[in-house]
Amino acid sequence: MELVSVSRRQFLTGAAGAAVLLGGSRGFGGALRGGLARLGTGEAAAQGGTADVWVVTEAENPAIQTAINTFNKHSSVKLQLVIVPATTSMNTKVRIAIKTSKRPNMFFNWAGGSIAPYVHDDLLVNLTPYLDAKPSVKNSFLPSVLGAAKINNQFYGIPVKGVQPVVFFYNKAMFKENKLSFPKTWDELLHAVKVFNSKGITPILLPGATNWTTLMYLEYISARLGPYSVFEDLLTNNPKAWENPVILKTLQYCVDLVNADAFGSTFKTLNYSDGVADALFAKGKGAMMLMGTWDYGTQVTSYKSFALNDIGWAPFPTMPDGKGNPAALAGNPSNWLSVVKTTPEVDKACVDFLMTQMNSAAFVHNLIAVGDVPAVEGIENELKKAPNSEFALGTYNLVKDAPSFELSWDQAVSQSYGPQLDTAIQQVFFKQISPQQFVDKMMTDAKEA
Amino acid sequence: MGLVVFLSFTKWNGVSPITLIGLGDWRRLVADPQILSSLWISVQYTVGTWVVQTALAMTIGVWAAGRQRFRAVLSSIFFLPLLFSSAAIAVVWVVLLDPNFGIVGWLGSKVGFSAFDPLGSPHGALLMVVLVTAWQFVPFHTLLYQGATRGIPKVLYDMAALDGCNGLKKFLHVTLPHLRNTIVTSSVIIIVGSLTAFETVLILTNGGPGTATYTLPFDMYTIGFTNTQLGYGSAIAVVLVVVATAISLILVRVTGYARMRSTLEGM
Repeated sequence: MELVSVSRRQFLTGAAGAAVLLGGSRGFGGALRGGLARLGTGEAAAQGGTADVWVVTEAENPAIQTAINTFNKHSSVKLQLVIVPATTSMNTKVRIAIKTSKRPNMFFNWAGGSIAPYVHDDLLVNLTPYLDAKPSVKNSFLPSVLGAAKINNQFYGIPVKGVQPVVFFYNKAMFKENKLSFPKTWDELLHAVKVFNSKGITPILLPGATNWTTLMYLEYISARLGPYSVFEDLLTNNPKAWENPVILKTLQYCVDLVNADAFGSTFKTLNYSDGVADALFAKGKGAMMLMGTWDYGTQVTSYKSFALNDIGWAPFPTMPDGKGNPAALAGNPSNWLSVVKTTPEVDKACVDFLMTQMNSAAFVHNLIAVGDVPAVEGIENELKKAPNSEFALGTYNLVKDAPSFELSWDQAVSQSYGPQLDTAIQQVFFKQISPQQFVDKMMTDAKEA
Repeated sequence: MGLVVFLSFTKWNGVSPITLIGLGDWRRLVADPQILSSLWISVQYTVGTWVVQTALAMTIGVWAAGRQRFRAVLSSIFFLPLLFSSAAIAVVWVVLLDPNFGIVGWLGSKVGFSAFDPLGSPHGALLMVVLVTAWQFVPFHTLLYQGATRGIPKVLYDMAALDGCNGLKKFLHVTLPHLRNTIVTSSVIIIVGSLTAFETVLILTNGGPGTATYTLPFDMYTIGFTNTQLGYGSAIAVVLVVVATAISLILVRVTGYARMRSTLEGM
């Protein structure tokens, strides 16, 4: 029931007034009024001709810094890279700051639900007119990736990282030792799990303490079971989306994998963000790991020899009676930089940076050097010179040829319950809730969102 | 607090305008099974924390009030955790408890636990939160008990010795009665602190495995800030404040602490 809509300015002004009354002293009231007034006006400090670019801790940051350095040479507005630590949620940090004077001028995001509220509140610069005015820039990006940052059919982000489909990484030496080839079907996967378990090897490393890692199984198994409309219904917030029987069937397959001891005994406390899972994989403590191709960049940086010589990769196996396209992809089409509206001068500088640097030869080259596969057209020759050209070209062609590329579900759905989706699927893997309880919970959460 | 109460009647994601929805958040709170689960986990955490901390703090505090050899040196070392922040302590224990690279996992494997992973099971994770919290705060409560024990007149112990009391009887009949006010003070601090504890859960377990350590404050944080449902999160915050305040008042009333009766009355 919507009785009254109170704007943020009205709420904060009311709060300021109440605080002044309660506070009493002129000094306290004056300081509080000043602080809240700054919050309430929505005017960001242009910070004396600088613009903050918020990114997460990633292997690509040196490439972004180099692009910024290049841009700053000829710009009166100087961009500054601000790295948000891995332990801090970028989404939370942006949400808290976006209407204050401490807001970023550009920020790294996952498109979909991570920027939809800001688009709804007209806080982001619509990049569509700029892209339409420069078709050479627009057409330089892979359309499926550029288009993934569309909200209401308008562009609100430019890709800043490589394409990041989720693939199955595997230890080639381990598979060879056990006379296995990477599974193409679900039954072959279960067989491989059985073989590795018999040898005391963790079949699949799953950093289950980081809950979104369990989500990738939900995404791929449902994509292979198909059809694509299962995901489309979620993306468009169809109220009946979670009732689709494919989702319940998918969850049961997830439970089957857990029951087959596919993930070892310590997956519930294995974290992804602290690098432990990558370390275990590099040290041969697990045969496979389902992860985004962003992880390859991390492996190249931290365990170069293992990454270049022993890592294999393959698409997710097909499912029994699956109606989905076996070439369909899930994961992060990329990550994007979006521009927060501040002053015309700063906005223009940020847009210029995106239009000139994100598809530049130098930036593409630097991304490839850390193992990324940029979302840029016509870079096959450059990819042939990549540290692992086979992987890079293979990933590139995977994305170019994919009939669909599902955005990670926790980013695609409303952010009001995206994090709850991560927790709930983790609980299924931990056998704390049943598949039906998961479906019931998601239906309730989606309705409340 | 007034603002939080106001927000508990709204739907707000922190960005868009605030929408008043009347009792919508409160109706949802009553029907949400996760809230009941979080409340139960908070109760378990509070009881466990009180039992562990009170037992340890009282024992060590009474011992530290004595004149044993090396007491001063050992006490100084023991009080070191008081110097560290909750966040720093939790970060250290996450590393120590890592089943793959942590020292606790390594030690566990040496005594027959091949996959010692206390944070990987629901009960183990909650126990670890209790123990890590105890590791941090037992020194503080020990100081309370030490100070209170020092204030007990020696003549009472002399009289008890004349009556033939041994160490345990002296503790039960002399020390414990005189620690009554301190026990209440310490208990109130522990219970209210446990009901509102957050950072140890966030860093040590992040509420996991799954939702096994989703205490009410953590649930409130997740709903309010991670899921950006600030209205609903505020409703939970109001419940938390009311419950913590009620428990404090009940404790003070039931124990007679409100009458501020000295344990040395009549001496």
